[in-house]
Amino acid sequence: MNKLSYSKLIKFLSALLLFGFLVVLNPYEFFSPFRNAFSFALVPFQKIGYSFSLAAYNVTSFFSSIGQLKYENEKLLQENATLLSENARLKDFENENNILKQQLDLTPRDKYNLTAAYIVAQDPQGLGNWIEIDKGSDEGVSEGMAVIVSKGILVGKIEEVWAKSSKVMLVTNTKTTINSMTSMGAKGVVKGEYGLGLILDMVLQTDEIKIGDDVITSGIGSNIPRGFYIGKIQEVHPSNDHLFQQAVVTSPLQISKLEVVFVVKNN
Amino acid sequence: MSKKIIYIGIIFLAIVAQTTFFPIFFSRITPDVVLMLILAWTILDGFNNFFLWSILAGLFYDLASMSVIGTHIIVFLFVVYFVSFFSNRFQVGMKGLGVIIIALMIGLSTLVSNAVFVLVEITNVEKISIIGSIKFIVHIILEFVYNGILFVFVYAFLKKIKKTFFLGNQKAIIIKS
Repeated sequence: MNKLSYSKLIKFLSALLLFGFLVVLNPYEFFSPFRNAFSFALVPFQKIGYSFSLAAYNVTSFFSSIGQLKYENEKLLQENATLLSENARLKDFENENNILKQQLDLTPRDKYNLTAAYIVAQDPQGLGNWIEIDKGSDEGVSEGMAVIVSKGILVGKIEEVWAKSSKVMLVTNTKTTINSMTSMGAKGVVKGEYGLGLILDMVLQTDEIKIGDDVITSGIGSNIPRGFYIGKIQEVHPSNDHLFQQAVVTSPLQISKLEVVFVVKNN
Repeated sequence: MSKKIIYIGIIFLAIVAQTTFFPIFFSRITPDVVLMLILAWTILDGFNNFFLWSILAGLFYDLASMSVIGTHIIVFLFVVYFVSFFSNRFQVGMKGLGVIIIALMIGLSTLVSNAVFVLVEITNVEKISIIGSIKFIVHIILEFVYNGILFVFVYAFLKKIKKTFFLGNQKAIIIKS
């Protein structure tokens, strides 16, 4: 190995050791002011970039969907005929739904102090771990607050706060655990799966859960109020140790296409 | 001085694109434009000229992506060293055997990036089982393809920038005897 290669190797190994040590130590508080300052400079550009990207995506989506319109139109005409006959039957279900809503105590929006926030950035690894919003401590946002979209669907919770922005840990993040319950009253814990989906875990074997059940927040032991919608059960199976039941939950949200979310500031 | 401003500007814009544009258009498998930028730049500038810039870019990327500080720095250090290692032994460029070498480096960079990230972020041993799953392997392969396509554009862009801003600034020194 010649001198030049040797010096490169030394530089590389020294830097690797130094930054490897830094990763292990992870002095979060030390770097917090740097993150704050960098975020302050970056957020305005991210806001512009995000808005532009969403607009561009909507335009490309429109053009790519033109080919599908004829097929969908025919399909919709057939569906319309079927739906007309179902409409009368559904009026009865509406009454039953109102009663269930009262029982589940689903969130009416006027109960909460909501702050609207624009999304300015997303997890660049594409793992569905976090989003960044343009509201921070200056606007009264603090850690642990729930974040929803307009219909009371849970997006995640505030993990870190800076002066002008905040990081929202999404429900699909593996570090997220949310105390939940199903529409039939079965209690469990919803966990994220690397952006691939959600798992409802630790449901007792004696509780009944089935495909199609809705999953909502239970409000137990956290800042997240009861009644925010999480998703619908797609699959049920026993846990690996066979002590509990598990269910795969699908959220109705497409996080990457969201533009505005709401921070729940109080009950 | 203008070189430093341009380098910082390009890194900054790449980070903005990586945190805004790419997650929207590629919601499941996101190519890494910052990683491809570092790879292309190292091929063009060489280890010694780009070593410190790769550390700075990694630091900015860690701050912007809210990763543990040092994660992307380590990834970029590997990239810079790999490029230097292969450059000493093979002709690295966009023709002939060089294309295969570049494809190999894109693949290695993608793999190292995911491996470092998984090692740093995973705290639960159970989750390591997802690494061996088919979904994860397909994820890596698709990300490699996206990164490869992105690399071509990034490389061409950087060559153009170098030609416009740096080669044009070179002055001829005339020695009068």
